[in-house]
Amino acid sequence: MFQFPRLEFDPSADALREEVRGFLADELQSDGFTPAADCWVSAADPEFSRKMGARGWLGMTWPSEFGGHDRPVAHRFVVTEEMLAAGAPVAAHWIADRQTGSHILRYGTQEQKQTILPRIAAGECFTAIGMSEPQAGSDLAAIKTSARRTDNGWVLSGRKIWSTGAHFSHYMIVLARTSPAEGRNRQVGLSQFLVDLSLPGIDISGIRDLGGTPHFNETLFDNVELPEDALLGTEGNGWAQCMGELALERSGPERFLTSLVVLEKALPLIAAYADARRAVEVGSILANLRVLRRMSLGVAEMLERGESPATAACVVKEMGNRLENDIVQRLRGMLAGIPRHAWPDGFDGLLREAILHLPSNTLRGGTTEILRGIIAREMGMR
Amino acid sequence: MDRDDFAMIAEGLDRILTDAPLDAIDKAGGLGTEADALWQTLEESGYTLLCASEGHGGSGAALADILPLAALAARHAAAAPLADTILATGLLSAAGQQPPALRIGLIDPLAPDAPIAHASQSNAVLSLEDGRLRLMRIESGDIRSVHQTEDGAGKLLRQPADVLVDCAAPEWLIPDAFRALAALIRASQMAGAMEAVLGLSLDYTRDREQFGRPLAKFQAIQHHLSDIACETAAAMAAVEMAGDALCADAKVGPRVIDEIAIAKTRCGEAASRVAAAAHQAHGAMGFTREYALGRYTRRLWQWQDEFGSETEWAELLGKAVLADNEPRLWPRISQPI
Ligand SMILES: Cc1cc2nc3c(=O)[nH]c(=O)nc-3n(C[C@H](O)[C@H](O)[C@H](O)COP(=O)(O)OP(=O)(O)OC[C@H]3O[C@@H](n4cnc5c(N)ncnc54)[C@H](O)[C@@H]3O)c2cc1C
Repeated sequence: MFQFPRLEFDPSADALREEVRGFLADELQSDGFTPAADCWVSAADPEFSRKMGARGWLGMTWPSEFGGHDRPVAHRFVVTEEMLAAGAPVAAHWIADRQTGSHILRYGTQEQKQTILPRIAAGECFTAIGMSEPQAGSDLAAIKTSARRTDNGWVLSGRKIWSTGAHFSHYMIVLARTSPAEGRNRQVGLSQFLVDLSLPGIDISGIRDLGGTPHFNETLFDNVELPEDALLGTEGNGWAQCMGELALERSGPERFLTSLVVLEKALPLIAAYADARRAVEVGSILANLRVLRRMSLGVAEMLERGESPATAACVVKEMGNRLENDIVQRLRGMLAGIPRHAWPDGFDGLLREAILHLPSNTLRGGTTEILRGIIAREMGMR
Repeated sequence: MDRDDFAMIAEGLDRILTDAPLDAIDKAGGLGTEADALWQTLEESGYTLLCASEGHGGSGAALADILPLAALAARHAAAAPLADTILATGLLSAAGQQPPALRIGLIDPLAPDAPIAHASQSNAVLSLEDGRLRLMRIESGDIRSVHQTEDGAGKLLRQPADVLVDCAAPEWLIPDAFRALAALIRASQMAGAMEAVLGLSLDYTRDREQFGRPLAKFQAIQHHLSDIACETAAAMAAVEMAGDALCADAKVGPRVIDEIAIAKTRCGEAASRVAAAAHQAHGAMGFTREYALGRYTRRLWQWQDEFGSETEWAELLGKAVLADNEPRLWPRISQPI
């Protein structure tokens, strides 16, 4: 039912991997960062993002006329997975590089592409996702935020919530209603806007997550005047565009590699107490991760071929999110019976951080229940 | 052999299996005149010698080419030792021996006392011991069937006296490699059976109505089906990955064995989940001998354990990681094939 094509790494991808590993080792050595669990949402460091931009590791697949580097999808995959495996502070640019940029490349005007993409690729422009609202989570089509046409643009009003990184972002892609639903069909009449977050009338307030970090936000749009060209793509096509964005959002290695850094940190300790029980856990985790990575590479390959692997992406995210929980629980099991004084420095905190991030895996980017529904629909069950 | 040739070979097998009375053959335990007729067709069409060299009358296919055929036969729940025989004849041919036209079961070199799959459906078994491949003829009196097993799995009551071939194994064919090849075939069979389970479950839940609507309309049932689909996709990907590794190194070096360990582990884990979800979605009907689901789930549970369970293979993988000087998973996860 779901076939995942093979993505091959060429020698240049392997060379790139070595380069990235070298960079990460240097950064670690020079105390550039402390590895973090869930780093693509928890660890934002604009300075680090700029360094990546300078090396040509952002916007890698975009054309050079927009600041990109014309590289194949495989190269971007190498960079992102190495960053995740190292727990590097990539949160500042993550959303812009992963989805907003590619989305603008696909739907944006020449002007939008020229002003924003080079800055994203340089690691100087960060973006946020404005889909969810207080009354519209899983039921995204229930959003109330609206944009009204005026003589010289649009007026945006409403409230978005849970936008990761909006507090340090320059732009947000906002899904808004531009005309009423047609009866029960609420997916019509929605449009996307590329909103400059420095405009008057926008109020962003941080929300602390379970662990106390202010990582997501509520954003109020109080009659914000948007220029004509803030519209992204076609008026009324917002739902379809949003779904395309979600395919970019759901398929990547960040859906199964966020807890690995914690396990890696503990592995030498577990090795010191190696026994059959612990070996089985490590082996099973290895098998699961390697297979999921192969599938995630397959989704990347489908994107490269211009296919729309939306459901395949859901398959990867669904299994990946489950695995993340599994890894941390199994890790706790492996640590059982090892005296605390043997634990490496700072490991308590790292494990704790991973545990406190776990509930978000199966929520953000579409909940487990919603993803399973999408997969079932693809099989004709709904 | 190129892709087109191979696609034709697979199509041919699919046709043969579609036409054969597989349900009846299965109910007869893979024995009897219908089973014999099926086997004869398979033999005459050249399937049993797929991996034997052309000089030995075979097709000279790579060992990795067995995998799609194994999955296909499993999708049909074909009670015949086809994949095991192809592997056995391929190995004998690689050892320079003309493989005889027999149905051949495989003795696990690392667990020689485990039940031998297909024992009662075969007329010979292949063992690897002390660097020698031995093909031994078996009679029905040599076998004690194991209670409630599929595919005629049984134990040898005595060492078979009639040794047909006794030759030096190819140098690369160490016991771990032999077992890994057989385990990979089981992994591929599991993936194929899971595909069949998915199809059955979709059909059944669309047809069966409760509370005035098809089961497929209930979200809880949709979630079971999504689970089955995800796990099946993972199993298929795992087998493909190991197959790629085997293509790159037909002599089954350590990297291939690792990749097979991953496949057998992942498929074994998937099998449990898939079988449980499918039975739940089927209700009591799935628990009958008559309905087709059991033909697949019984095999899934058996194949999980043949040639190393997921626990054994995972332990092997994990041990290697933990024995490293600087134990880390990432280099292994991101390793190229
Ligand atoms: C850490 C984090 C970061 C996020 N970042 C962003 C962001 O940057 N931008 C953004 O727009 N949003 C973001 N979100 C929001 C996220 O997309 C939503 O949380 C998600 O879509 C679920 O919506 P909800 O939280 O309102 O839960 P609800 O929709 O209220 O769901 C609650 C529970 O009910 C279940 N449920 C709901 N509907 C159904 C149904 N039809 N069938 C079965 N079960 C159902 C859900 O699966 C869930 O288990 C983020 C969320 C988190 C946790």
